[in-house]
Amino acid sequence: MDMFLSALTFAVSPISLCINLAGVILGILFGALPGLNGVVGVALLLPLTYNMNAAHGLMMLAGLYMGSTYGGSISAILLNCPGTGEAACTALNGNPLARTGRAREALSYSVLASGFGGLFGVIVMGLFTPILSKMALKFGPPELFLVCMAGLTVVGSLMGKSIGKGFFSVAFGLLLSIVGMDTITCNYRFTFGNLHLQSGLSLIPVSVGFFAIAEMLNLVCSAEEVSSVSEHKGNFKTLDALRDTLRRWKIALKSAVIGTIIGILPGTGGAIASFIAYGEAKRTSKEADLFGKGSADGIIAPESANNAAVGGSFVPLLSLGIPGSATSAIIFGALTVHGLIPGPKLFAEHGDIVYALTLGLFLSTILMMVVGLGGVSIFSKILNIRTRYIVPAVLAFSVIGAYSARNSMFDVLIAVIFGIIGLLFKRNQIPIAPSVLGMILGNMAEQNLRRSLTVAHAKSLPIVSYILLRPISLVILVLLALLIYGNMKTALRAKNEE
Amino acid sequence: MMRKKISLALVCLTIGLLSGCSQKTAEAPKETSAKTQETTRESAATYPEKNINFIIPYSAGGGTDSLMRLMTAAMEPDLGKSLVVSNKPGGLGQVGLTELASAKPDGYTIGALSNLDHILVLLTGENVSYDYDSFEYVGAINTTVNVLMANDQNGFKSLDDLVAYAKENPGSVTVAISGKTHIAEVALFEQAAGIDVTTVMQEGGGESLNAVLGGHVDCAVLDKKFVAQVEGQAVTPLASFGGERLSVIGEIPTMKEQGYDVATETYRVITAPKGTPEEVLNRLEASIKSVTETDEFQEKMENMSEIYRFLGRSEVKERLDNDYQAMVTLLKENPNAFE
Repeated sequence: MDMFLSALTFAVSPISLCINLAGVILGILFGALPGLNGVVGVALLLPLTYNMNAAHGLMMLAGLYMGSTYGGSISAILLNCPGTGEAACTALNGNPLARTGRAREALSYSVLASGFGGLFGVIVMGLFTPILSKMALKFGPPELFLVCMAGLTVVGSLMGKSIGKGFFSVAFGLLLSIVGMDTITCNYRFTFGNLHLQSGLSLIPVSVGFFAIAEMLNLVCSAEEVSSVSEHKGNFKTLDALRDTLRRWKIALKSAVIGTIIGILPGTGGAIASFIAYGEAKRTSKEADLFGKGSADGIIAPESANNAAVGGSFVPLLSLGIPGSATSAIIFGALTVHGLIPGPKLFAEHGDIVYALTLGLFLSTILMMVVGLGGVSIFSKILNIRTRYIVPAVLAFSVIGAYSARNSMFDVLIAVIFGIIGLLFKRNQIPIAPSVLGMILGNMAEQNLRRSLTVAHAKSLPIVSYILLRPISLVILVLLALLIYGNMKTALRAKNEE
Repeated sequence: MMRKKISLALVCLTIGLLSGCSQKTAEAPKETSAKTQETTRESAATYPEKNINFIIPYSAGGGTDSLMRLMTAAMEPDLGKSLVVSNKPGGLGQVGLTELASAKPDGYTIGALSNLDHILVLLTGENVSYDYDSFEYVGAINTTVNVLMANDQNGFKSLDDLVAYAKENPGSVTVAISGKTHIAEVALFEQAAGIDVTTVMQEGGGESLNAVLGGHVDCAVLDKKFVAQVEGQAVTPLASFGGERLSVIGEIPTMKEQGYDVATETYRVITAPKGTPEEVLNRLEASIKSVTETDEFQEKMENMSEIYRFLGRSEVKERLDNDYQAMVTLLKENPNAFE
């Protein structure tokens, strides 16, 4: 208890709050700018923390991680350019809502849901880390393969009107994930002798092209003077958004649970969490017909899930030293620089730092909500800026973002190419989100299936029984069946409407 | 409308062309190296006169990156100029090293590499445009070893238990690995022990740890920094791949002690393109030595669970030559080791 109190005093001290706030604001910026994201931000700030007090350094990085997860939704809602993969689903409903003049409403839903999910994830992390880390270990290659399959079923909720085009898009994404070194055998696939393709297509330039550049090209072609509706309808109040979000607590809570669990699983992250939460929300939402046209549920579900995944990803990181996401993998580096070795001993020997980090992350979430809500009316002014100013600015940031992830001009070229492909997709009403989903999950699904095959072969077990006859596999399988049923229903309903 | 479309296409084209061009210029200047060597020789006494680019061919936050950023930051006051770090990850370091090999050899573009990754790219990589002699190896400041660990569920309490079991059940022991270095190490061990195990490739140490702690595989090859993490859990370190015991993991016997002739280690080598003036190389070597010798620096390394070991130019070349020969021999005896 003493330790908790001293950690609390530490976390609310002015200097800690300032560092925390700096991390959160930087995070929101990194998240909102296309091409930059939490991974890039945390990597850039990491050397800065070498000479800081360990708890302060971790607090700043964790705050940045939390802020960036929310920040992606700002550009997703206002410009239809999700700054991160985590915000891809948010754009599907946030942008249509903004286009009808309800941008401030959409932004408020997003920040409130992010805050709710974030707090949920942190509370779970603070209270149940030792128990949940045991659960994380139960997920081996077969379970992770089935989780990927569950993720892929969500494509049914993303495909819009045409089933054929939806499947084309997800297949395209899966194909992209094959390019590069086959990580199981170290052989190269589809690299066409190009050195830069050996490490595969990186998700950042592809999604920058697909989302940001394609949207800007589309704007230019449609020759609208202002990117969206310039008037804001009605006198919207933050309190209304809060009441509205609270009314939808079931969706927010379910998505937060999904997000936390996905966050705990090794190698996953907020993007997968938000896709699965989105699919699940569409299956059960009362306003399922509004999905894709500006549903509040469709904003709340992915935003709650991706911020909940932040707290979730710290669970295996702190208790086992296994990072749950790409961003927490870099935070792992920050821990070790200060001589903090994650694992059971961390809690015994450095409990003060664990408490300070958890409380810091809790405060980061609250600071994020304050900054986010305060910024709603400022952010929404972006919509009043003329297209001719928006387009060059977004394109410039896209190029910088695509370059900075790997310091590679080749990645800029990839972003431009995928910008053009994205434009073709948009012009032919092919949904883009399934491609991104396929690209994120393709690699993971393939690797885990092949690891399962390798182990099953070594143990001379038939592959089907090796994958299925495990307790957690059976649970996921039931969920998988439900998801397939639900998504088929939505896909077919969309077909009938056509 | 139409005009906008056309101008847009032009913009895209220009961006595309620009990115193509800059790549070509970066790869071009190999032939001019002799000439630049002449001119830089005179200025070597005053080196460095401007900031130095430092290429790390791995992503930010990784093992090579953390260590090299620590070192470059320490070198800045000594050299009086900044070392500008850029990460160029891809293909086990091949992307960044391609750029380093073709950079102007004037001491203003240097970088780092990881010994076994570098050698394995040279021996088994595709489209490798440089060779072993495209670089000057300036020095190394660390050494680390990998450790073979086993989950307790199979009762492998020692390396001999594992070997005995593997001999009776060929191919049935599963070993989680990540990266080509681990493939080489397991192949060397298989050869030395006369056994056959099944490797299961993971994305990184974290995933391997998850697999072995969760009992999804029988064993895992992990960096020595994970030894402290598994303490008190159902995983036993069986042997270290290093040639000799390291003090931080002094309780873990080496493969050699247990009768299996395997000795590998990993270290990061500070590297410059071939043709960099002698004076510049000596200046860099001296700077690395002086800034890393301090207690303060070594304490920081210790916190990162890195072990300090300085190797100068001639020593590092000798080590690399030995590693290179070991890998050539492995591939000669077992050409399919990496298939």
